[in-house]
Amino acid sequence: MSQKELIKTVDLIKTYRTEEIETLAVNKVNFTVYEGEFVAIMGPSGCGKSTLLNIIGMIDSPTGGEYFFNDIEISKFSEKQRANLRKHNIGFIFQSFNLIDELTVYENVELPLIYQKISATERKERTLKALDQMNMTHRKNHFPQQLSGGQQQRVAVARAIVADPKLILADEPTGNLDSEHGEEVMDILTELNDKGTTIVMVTHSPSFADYAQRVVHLFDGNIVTENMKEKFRV
Amino acid sequence: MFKNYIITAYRNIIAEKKYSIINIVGLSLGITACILILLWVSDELSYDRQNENYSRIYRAIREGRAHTPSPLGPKLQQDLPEVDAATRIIKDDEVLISANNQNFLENDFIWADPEIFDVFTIPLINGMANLNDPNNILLSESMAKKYFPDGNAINKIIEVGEKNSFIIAGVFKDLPVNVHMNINFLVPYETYFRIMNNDINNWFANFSYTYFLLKEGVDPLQLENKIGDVIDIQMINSLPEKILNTLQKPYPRIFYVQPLSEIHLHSHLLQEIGTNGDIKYIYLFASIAILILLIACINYINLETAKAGKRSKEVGIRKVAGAERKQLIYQFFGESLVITFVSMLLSLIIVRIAIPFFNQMTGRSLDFHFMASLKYLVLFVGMTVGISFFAGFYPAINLSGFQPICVLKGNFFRSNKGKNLRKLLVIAQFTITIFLIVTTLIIDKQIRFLQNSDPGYERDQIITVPIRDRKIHQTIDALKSELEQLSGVKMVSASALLPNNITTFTTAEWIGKPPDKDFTINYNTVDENYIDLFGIEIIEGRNFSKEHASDRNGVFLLNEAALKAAGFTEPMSEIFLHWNDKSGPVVGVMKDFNFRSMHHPIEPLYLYYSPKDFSNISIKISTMDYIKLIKEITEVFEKFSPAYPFEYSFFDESFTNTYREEHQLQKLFSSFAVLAIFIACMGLFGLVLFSTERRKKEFSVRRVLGSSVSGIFFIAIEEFFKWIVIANLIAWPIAYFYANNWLQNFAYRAQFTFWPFLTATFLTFLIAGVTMSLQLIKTIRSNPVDALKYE
Repeated sequence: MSQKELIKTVDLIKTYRTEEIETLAVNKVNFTVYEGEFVAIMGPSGCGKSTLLNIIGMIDSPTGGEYFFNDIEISKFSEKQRANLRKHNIGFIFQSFNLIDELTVYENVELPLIYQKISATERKERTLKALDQMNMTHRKNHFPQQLSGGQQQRVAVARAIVADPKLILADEPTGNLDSEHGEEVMDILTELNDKGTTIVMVTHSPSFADYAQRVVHLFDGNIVTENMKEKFRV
Repeated sequence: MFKNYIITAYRNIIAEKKYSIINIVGLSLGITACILILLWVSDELSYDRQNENYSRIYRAIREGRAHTPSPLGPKLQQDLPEVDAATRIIKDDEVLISANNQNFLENDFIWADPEIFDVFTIPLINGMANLNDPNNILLSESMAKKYFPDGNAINKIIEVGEKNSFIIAGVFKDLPVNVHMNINFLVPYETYFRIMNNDINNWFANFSYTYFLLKEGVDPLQLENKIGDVIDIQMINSLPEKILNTLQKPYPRIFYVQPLSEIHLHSHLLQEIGTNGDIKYIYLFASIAILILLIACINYINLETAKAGKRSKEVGIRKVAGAERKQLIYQFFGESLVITFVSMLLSLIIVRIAIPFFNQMTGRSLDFHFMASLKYLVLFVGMTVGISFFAGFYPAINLSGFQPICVLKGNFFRSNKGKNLRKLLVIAQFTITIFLIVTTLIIDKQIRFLQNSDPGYERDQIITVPIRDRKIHQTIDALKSELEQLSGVKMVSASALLPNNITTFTTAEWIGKPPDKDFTINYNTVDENYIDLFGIEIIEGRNFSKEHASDRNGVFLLNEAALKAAGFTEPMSEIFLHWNDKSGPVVGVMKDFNFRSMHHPIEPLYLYYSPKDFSNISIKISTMDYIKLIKEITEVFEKFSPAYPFEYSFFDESFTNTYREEHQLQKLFSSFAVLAIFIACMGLFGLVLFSTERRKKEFSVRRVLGSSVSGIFFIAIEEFFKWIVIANLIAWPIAYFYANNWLQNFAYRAQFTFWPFLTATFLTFLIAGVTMSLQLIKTIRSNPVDALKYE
């Protein structure tokens, strides 16, 4: 396994401030993900898992500490710089699928390529390929509301992989699915990881966490334990 | 990417039908109002522009008056090298024309110098532009077709009046409608003086208009000064010594110049050649159109930002998928562009349908073919882009600014972002609406006041007949006597002018007038029945009478204002002068009456007894069988004036016409007020729709806990009503200020009351209340379990 660091946080802090109280969501977290790894983050509700994932995904910025992505320190990046880095490197999968209701399956999957200004011909080719990978080609002209939860999540995965990102961040991707569909999604993620995509996944489910090579436990914004699965130990 | 924007826009419009309809209908109506006003404004601004030398044409005028002396035109051309050409013009209406053995009464009969063709652009179709021959006449194309439908009119002879024959020398193309002076006939100016036996070189022959063409690059102000130096002096020197001695040195400026471009919208002189427009109405209605469009744009802004909760998810996903803010801004602009484009198409159709009604309301003849000219196409494309930019700007900035993190947290639907702005905008909408309603009601009240208040003379049961046939002057006594013999006729009077429109004036002169008592006095020449027929009150002395032999030499009645201006304490002992030369005693004093519209205060006036000097006959009737009586009156007039078609009008109708402009203003204002309140209420409906959707769960919980439907209803409308109260508080002083300003145009004003304000407030609450009830009650009455289950 390659030991190149893709993600590295040093004393990462995130606080939320309202008028009355300040909440420490991520407390001096030092966390590294290597290229090609599949990491699961677990912990009780409100422990900071999603916040950490959002910071890693560059859709939120840390309050303190450092964040290196591919050896570049980005904690002080502007929103535009982060957006630019994000769209070329990261794919997202959410618990609630987050598909745009007004766009068809095909158009939803095509979206990241549009914003990367990829030519129409290439877009078509790559979108159909991603849909094919997820076995959703036959549904490409449907709207999200016409699909089952599992199918919607497959579309969301297709959208996450269509731009061929280095990293996929999955925030409880099985949370809204029954166990059968949940396992199906996990198989897809494992397959992607086998092909070299780095995956960081937040989950409540120990059985789905089992799919990962490493499980990180968070409590009150701190990493409390890190377990490397035996079979993956070097 | 553009395709993606359009697809999303289209699907959003379809998915949010109710909001889309509100936006599209509102914007369509707003754009319709704008286009109609724009057409009207563009028509008003296009006056006289068909003239090739438009920017070099000027008119000579005097202080406050459009008429100039006859010798002025040639003098300008001879003495001032800056003047390329000058033409004098006399305009006659209701001229009797006999052609092809038929009689017609025609308007826009212009006596002009041959130079009229050098000054104005009058394209010739046939014949020659020759006004040098005194017997030549030129006709407009429509007149030529009317008289000679089958063939060439050139060299045919037509009769003007009853005995003046003219040869048709040319036919010119009809002038467009948007000219301040229309021309149907052109005849040599000098011929007028020959027929009337007047001295063309008399500096006191003050009934011509003088137009001239300036050489390129000449400063009109410098020319005006030069006219003062060269020509004013010549006129002053021609004055009789008696008058010259009364003038103080330095002599006052006599002539001014006025550019052609300013005549239609800026000139409101006495003796104007036609009815001009008014720039203040252009500003007024352009502002109203913009306000209505603003109300529609506010609907768009409000509804789009209200939908932000729903749209935020999409924004978040797009950002996570790599969209930059700039790209999202383009997308939201794209959506407002689609909405505005659809609204524009719809409004173009509405304008096509509405234009005849708009013409009726404004008394115009506007035409609209939107594909006919590139100018319109560019304008409408520009409007679409401009409006979509204006309406879409805030929503685009607001919606594109959402952070993707919020989407992931799923807390947008509860966001209050933009709520304060929506509140402000609704208040602004209702402020505009209330302003329009209050103003409409005040205008309405003032017009009612004008129509119903006593002007000091009677208006009912009076028929008036304009007299064009000068021969009637010889037979007036016999004519009056025959009319008076008809059953149903109570009295007949001949006078120069009717008491609602006395516009002639002169300088007041009387024997023993002190030098410091100079003032202008209006006058009318009347017979002995005028005072009784119109019920004008004599408060001192007596009426004119045939019984008094001395009256035949000319006697005077003064009004109270004249008495006051002259400082007479014993008016009956004063000898007054008519036109500076005919003197006679004052025999009575009239109570002041409004001899012009109520815009004007009552000024000094004298009536001069001169029964043969008239151009109107008034007939007081006492029957309800108008048809029979008018038939009999017609027969009498046809007997005494067989050549002239008989025309009559009811005096009360002409009185009402005095306020035609105010009527038009009232109609336009009320239509726009209705439109404004409709669009504003649509927006309010949309917001209530949005708000009830959001508060469905709250209403259900309240109902489960025992609240009544009405209780929840009042909680729901409380906030909106608060906004309307604030809008009222802002609109009242603005409307008061504007209405008060407008009322300053009238010397007599309806009593100020708070009723228009209270009515407007009541109306807005009522209409807004009904609008809100439509949606609210439905939602509140729905089964609470549904909402709770859904949540």
